[in-house]
Amino acid sequence: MTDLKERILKRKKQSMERYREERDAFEKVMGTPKINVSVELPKGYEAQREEFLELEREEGFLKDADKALGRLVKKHLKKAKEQAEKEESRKAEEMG
Amino acid sequence: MLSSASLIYIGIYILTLLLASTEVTALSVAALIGASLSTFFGLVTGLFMPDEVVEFVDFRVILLLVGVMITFEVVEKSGLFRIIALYAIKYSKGDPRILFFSICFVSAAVSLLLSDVTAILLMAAAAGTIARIMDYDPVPYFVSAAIMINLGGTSTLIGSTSNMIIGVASGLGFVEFLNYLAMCEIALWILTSLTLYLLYRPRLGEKKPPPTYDPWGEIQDKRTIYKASFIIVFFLLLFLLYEHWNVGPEIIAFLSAVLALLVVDVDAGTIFRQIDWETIFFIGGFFIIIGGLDKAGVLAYFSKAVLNLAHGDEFLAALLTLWSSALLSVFVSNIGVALTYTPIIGMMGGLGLNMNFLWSALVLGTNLGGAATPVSGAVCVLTMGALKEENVNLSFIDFSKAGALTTIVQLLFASFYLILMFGM
Repeated sequence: MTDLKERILKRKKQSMERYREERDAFEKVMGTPKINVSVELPKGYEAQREEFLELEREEGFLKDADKALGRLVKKHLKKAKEQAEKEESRKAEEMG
Repeated sequence: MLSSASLIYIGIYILTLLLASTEVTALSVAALIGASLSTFFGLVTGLFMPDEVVEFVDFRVILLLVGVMITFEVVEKSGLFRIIALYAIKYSKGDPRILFFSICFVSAAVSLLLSDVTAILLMAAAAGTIARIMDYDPVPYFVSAAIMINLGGTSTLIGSTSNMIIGVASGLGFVEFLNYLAMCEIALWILTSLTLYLLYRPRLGEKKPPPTYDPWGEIQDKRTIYKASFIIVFFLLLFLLYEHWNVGPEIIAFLSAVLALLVVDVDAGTIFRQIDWETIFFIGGFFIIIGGLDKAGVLAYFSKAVLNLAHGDEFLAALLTLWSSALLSVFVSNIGVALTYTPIIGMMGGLGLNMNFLWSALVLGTNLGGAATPVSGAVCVLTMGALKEENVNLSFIDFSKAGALTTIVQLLFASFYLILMFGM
């Protein structure tokens, strides 16, 4: 019976993967753009493989990751903006 | 009285439907189990010969289905339908009423060409995204899209798999389908979307500023979109004209598929892998089960029973066909219902009945019964799954309120339409 339930769920899961792909495509155009970052299991923590994989669904971890990544993204975007501005003013100086 | 061989074949038929509708096995595997049992008993009891088993399968239906699937899989890959959905949402300008009707009509229109499963994944994703952005309740949009997708394509030969089966068996052409059923389908689109609107009006949400985006600007490969549009126009033109050339629709579908693969730059291997083989094997297996039922005399028995029940009256026979096929389609695959009814209806030919009346009733019945409950068809099952992805748990009853209500409204209108169309 468990096997049967799993088979039914597997078939539905495949369709939902297609749904998520389709939703991401719409989100890209209509919603806030997103990027995906993947994280590898750090060296020295091989024994905690299971716990590492569970982090993907752990609410506390996701909140922390969101905060930390948000800070990093802002830092890098700020840096990129400053560099672009510097480059622009350098070009303006060269021109005249 | 039914013979013992007939009872065995009825048992195989019911077993197959049970396996398929309870999802104990995949749809295709259920049909192949039934086909194997049917073949085994037929050969052992001498009911039919090995050569006849192959003849049970109508390869014209398979070719038509594969051709249509390849053509529209290629077109779908171009992103053309996504652009259409994006424009529909953009032009609703944040008004939930316009958005609701846009989603309803685009869902029905898109399902004229795409398979119902592909159409619901596309439209649910579009509705889910805009509902999240605008903070709307996604239920009205999701359920309405599912019901309209089930309805879309009722009047075209290629609009649904059951239509292809009925079209090939009846010999009704693409234009004849439109002549008999297009007006009915248009009226049903309006009637169904209005019924859904009245049902869901309080849950649609308030007008808000919509997201700003440019669907056309988002297209990275505009050439492919042009090519896909050309394929659709060419495909429809061929279907409108093929009856003058003395070829069947399956040949046109096959030629269109080859042309689509040639014109649009897609990997043929990827397209072939994405064809709905599940449905194709289901149909192949089910043809063999129906062949066994035919040889055992079951279909002739039921054909006579329908006529007796209707007292030989074509109006009653048509209405009986419409309502019984719709009711069966609520519980089992409408493809199976179409495969079962086509030979039964076919046997009534030559009795002086208006066969187009009966075929039209069957087309409407098999199409309209597919969205009454969340388990009536793949579209409804996927809608429930997609809602779950949006963290909404819709109950069986809540879906069925909309599904059953619209099905009854549609069937009442279809009965009225059939009497008006063929009785006047």
